Amino acid sequence: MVVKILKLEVNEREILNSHRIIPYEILYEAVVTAEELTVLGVPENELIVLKSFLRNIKPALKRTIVKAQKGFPVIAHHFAYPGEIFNAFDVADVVVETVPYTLSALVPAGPEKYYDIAESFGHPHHSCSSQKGTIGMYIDDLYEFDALATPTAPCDNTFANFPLMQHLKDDNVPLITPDMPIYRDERAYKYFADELMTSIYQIGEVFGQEPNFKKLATAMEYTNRDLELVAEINELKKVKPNPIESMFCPLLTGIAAFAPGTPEKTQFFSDVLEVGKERVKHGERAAGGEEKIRVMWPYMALFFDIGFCEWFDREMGMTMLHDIFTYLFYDKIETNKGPEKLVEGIARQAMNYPMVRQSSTQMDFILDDFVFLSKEFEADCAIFTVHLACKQVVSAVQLLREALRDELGIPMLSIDVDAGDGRFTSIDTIKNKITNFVETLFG
Amino acid sequence: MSNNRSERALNLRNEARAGVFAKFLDIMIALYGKPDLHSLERLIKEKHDGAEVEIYFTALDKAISIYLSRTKIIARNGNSYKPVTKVIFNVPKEKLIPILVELVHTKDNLIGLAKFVLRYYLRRKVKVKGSLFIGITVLRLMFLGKHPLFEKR
Repeated sequence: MVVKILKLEVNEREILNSHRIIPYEILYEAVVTAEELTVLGVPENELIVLKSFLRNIKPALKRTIVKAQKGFPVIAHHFAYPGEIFNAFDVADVVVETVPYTLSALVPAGPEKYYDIAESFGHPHHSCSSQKGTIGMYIDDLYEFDALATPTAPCDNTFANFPLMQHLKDDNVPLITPDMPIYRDERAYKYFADELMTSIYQIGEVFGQEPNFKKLATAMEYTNRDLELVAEINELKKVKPNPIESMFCPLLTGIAAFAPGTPEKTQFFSDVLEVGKERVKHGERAAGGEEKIRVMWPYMALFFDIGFCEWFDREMGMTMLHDIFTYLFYDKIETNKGPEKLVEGIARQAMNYPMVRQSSTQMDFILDDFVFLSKEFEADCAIFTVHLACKQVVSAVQLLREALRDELGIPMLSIDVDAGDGRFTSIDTIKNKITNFVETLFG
Repeated sequence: MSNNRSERALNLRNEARAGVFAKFLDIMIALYGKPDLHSLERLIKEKHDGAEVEIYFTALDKAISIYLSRTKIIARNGNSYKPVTKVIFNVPKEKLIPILVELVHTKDNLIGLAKFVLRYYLRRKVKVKGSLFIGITVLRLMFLGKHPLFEKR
């Protein structure tokens, strides 16, 4: 397959019409439609962050589609594999986890049929729906992958699902798996940097390309700038009332996965920051009204119902301060000291990437991080969405509840959900649980 | 389903487009339909509680379903199982969004309704098969123009 792609001139027409990443085309259509509807239909000062997200994610998706249509190799990767690295190659990179979840946010029941296809194939119902959706799409022949890449983290779903995708079709797709150690110390960072560098050259070898570290450095410069912007946005969230809407949490997750190391992602954060600063000046919340309850959300936001965040903000007067993806526990990296230093910095970031940091090590991280964040951002309570597939963090739910209660005296609600499949726990059930929690504790 | 990948991709893209319409209506009615929701109970008589209305987009060959209840509206993509009414948007693909946006900005009063009837219903751009009352009721639920934020525009 790879050889066929590289000889583009031979069968260009066939490849150009091959629609090798149809789910990206579906998602692009959904994003374009949603953007038109929100820009034309929603009042100007409403859903500003969503409008910026749709505007900025569009070119990133389009770029990937065009690359695939031009015949560049398609590599599917876990979000934990630093997406910036693919800027060093001429490839179309597909983020396995984010496609079904973004689709579930924009289209009612969007990826459900693909979950069902995977389950009909024999995929366990309790495995991660974000990967199950892509597996269903792959079984349904909507994707053609030339390679797969994932670190050996953050969870057992990943260890199982990527090798499954490798062997799912007749042709054995190369799987590149840098080994991520459990510990987070200098020796571990050095080890993973070596693994990551090896994986970069493996990608190059598979596709017959030399990695372009200059392009990678440029991508990381954007990521460095993003870190500054996110830090500023986080500072704004400390203000009461919090000027940033809850919807920012799931949207950050989406844009971070789809547009790593790109000007669009930086633009999104700049837009949010600008809006946030303006609101702080006027002492406003995004949803208006009073901020009644500041909520720490230690795990994933609910992707399958994007309207939930607006209900949360407007009807409940609540604010989602942080979910697991929105606080970045790592620093900027040096981009001008050569490939070794560059990859070392990326490795350090990758090991502390949200969810990877909290899920692939001992549970101390999730406890420490969310006690720290709850204190720092003055949360009144926490809501833990216990995602069906994330068995590694389920062990931390009770421990975190006790830690928050003992150290800060704040209560935590846990709700069993599937963050990308509304059939597991319906949105009405979730809303009822939150309403009851709030009425019980806050009167 | 066709084996042709282009046709398949187009079909799935159209499905996504209709699905986004459903999501948009769901969110818009939930966010800005509040002032009109008190009239929901009046609009949706007991006998229509739980009824399904299908909205079909000819240009996409796709439909969305609206489930009516006296407390809320749920919009989903896909055909209805047993629609009491079918509202058909018989306009080209590029006109779908402008019409939906115009509906959303229309005020739920006699003038708004008259405008809609003259512009779209009588010109057969929007057809109603089945109960005209329920068809109009569903369309009226999309008329959010009375919300203060829309009035500012």
